[in-house]
Amino acid sequence: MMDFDDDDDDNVQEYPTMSMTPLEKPNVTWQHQWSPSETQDAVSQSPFATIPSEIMLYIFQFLSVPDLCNISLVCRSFKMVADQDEIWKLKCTMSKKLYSKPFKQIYMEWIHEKCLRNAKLRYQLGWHTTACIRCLPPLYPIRSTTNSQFEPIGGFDKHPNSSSNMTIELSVDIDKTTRELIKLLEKASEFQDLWEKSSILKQMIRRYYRFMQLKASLPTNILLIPTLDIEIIWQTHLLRPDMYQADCLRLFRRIIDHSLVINDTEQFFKEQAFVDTCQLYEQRFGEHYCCLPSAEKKKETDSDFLYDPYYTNNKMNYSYSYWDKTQFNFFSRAPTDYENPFSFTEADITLDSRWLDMCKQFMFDALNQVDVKHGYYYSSKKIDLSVGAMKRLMKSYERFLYMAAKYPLIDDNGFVPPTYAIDIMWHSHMQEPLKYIADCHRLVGYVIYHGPWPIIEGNTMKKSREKTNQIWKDEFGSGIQTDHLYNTLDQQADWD
Amino acid sequence: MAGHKIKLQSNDGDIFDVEVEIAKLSITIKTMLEDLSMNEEEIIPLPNINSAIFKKVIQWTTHHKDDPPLPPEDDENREKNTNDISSWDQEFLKVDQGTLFELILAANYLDIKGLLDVTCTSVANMIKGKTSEEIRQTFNIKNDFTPQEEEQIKKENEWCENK
Repeated sequence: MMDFDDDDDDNVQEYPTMSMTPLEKPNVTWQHQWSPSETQDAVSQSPFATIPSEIMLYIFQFLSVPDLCNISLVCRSFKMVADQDEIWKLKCTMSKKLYSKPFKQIYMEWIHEKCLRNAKLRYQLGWHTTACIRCLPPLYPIRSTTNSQFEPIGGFDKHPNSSSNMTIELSVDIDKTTRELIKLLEKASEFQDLWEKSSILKQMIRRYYRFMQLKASLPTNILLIPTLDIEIIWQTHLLRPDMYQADCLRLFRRIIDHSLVINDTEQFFKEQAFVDTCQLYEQRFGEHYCCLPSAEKKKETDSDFLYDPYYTNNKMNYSYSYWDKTQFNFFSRAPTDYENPFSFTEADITLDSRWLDMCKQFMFDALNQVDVKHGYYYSSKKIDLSVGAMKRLMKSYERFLYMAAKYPLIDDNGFVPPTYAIDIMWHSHMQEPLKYIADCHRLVGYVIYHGPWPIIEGNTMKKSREKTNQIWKDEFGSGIQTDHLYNTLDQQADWD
Repeated sequence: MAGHKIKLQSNDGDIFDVEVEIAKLSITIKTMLEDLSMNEEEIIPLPNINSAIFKKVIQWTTHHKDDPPLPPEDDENREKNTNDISSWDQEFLKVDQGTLFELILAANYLDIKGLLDVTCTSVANMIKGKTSEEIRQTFNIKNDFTPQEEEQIKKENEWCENK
């Protein structure tokens, strides 16, 4: 999914020296060569002397990685137990043993990989802040309405161009979810300066891990309300469905569900659920969760986005903006026992935080490439979520799913990189991981993994992009870059 | 059958009358009763447990006798969690270190998974967040590493830390 290997890109540069990051491969050269007589003396005065090593092993299995590091520095007999496969198996992304490699080494190599990923991502973020948006000059004619070669594929029994409405049904309420998602991202970017620091990100990841532990330990019908900082990390995780699935199964034994849209009953209990979440979290971890909002303050914040014409539908939507109530209140120092058991890294979160601005820029630029009659006038770069715009966006996403079904990712022929416009819908769809997986299987035949990664526009990338554009154009009669600005079949969408 | 009792003897000679249902929380005793079909009046010796510890064990099993059975050997690949000690257990475990470790041994010998879990969790909690020196002090352990060994482990530990 993620392209770690970009040898084929033309402008690969050397990474700047990253003094903090060891880049050579870890190697466990450590061999225990102590006889029992050399290890027993240290604990002879300790209650641990009476404990058989299998019980020590059992006790150590409760410990986090930082604790295990401390444990292995206590004495030789602790070190020997702390290195056992039974312990590191629990920390590894995969539980299948490879050859005769110890699980601890597998773990260390995974950390190393994450380390490289983080460094590389950081580096690319540093270089490609402003060069990310590239739009091919499109101005394609209005797409054709006929397609003679259509054959049913995946969950598609009609060609996407055959109707101005979606021909497929998604299990997620994309419309509502999109509005909530954009609201969330706006909110997160408002506070970005506060949270985008390594020491704070570490605390956020830790809080997210704890929140997820809490969620995993309770029945699924119990509503827990995340705070903004936790939600931000959750978003990064959700947008990497392969990691999310694997991490959840490894750490929590099931895929923890997520949704931005809540039903009426949940809406009713929302306030209470937030108070309950605070209490449960504090009871379990002995740590502050979040300040509870006072009643008046709540009234003010609730109305934040409610009357903004870009974000509201004709019918009034419920606002689930619980993150409005979150205040950032972190220590300036990173936690000493920091552990990130997930597969994403801090740089992934930084990367995701750029998405909204890039998306807005893309949407803005795309508008200038299409002759929109009757003058839409955009004074700001807000994302247009009006009825007609949403309808077009959903059709674009439908086309994307159709292409994914038609050209599965078997070899590089199949790659259809979406635009930021399609990405809006894709991100919304992934907000409900279980439904997303089910929809993918039903409609496309496999789960489409989403892997945010900064794009370096090398020759290879350019070629594949051109190819994709051609395929898209042949299939749908319009370019992918501005696909979301064309109506299908009729012009009525905006007057619904 | 409720209230039916059996006699169990600790290694310092005391005899305890224990309800069968409670005694059977110990898989070891349960197996003895079922497999060996022991006579009701017969006294079952517990050579590894003294009276003080056995009293604690009975106290624990009596309190937990109506607990739902633990899920059968929960997947071993799961991360274990240390935050689930009930307030009753926390109170119960306010004992000195020696007693705590004896309880672990007793739970292990008697094969009472719930008690083993909670006592081991308790020890894990004593380790959590402490430096290696603090751990040595807490449990009266000597440092038997050579300086070179210590250096090597520290280096190795760096690889385990999230950057």
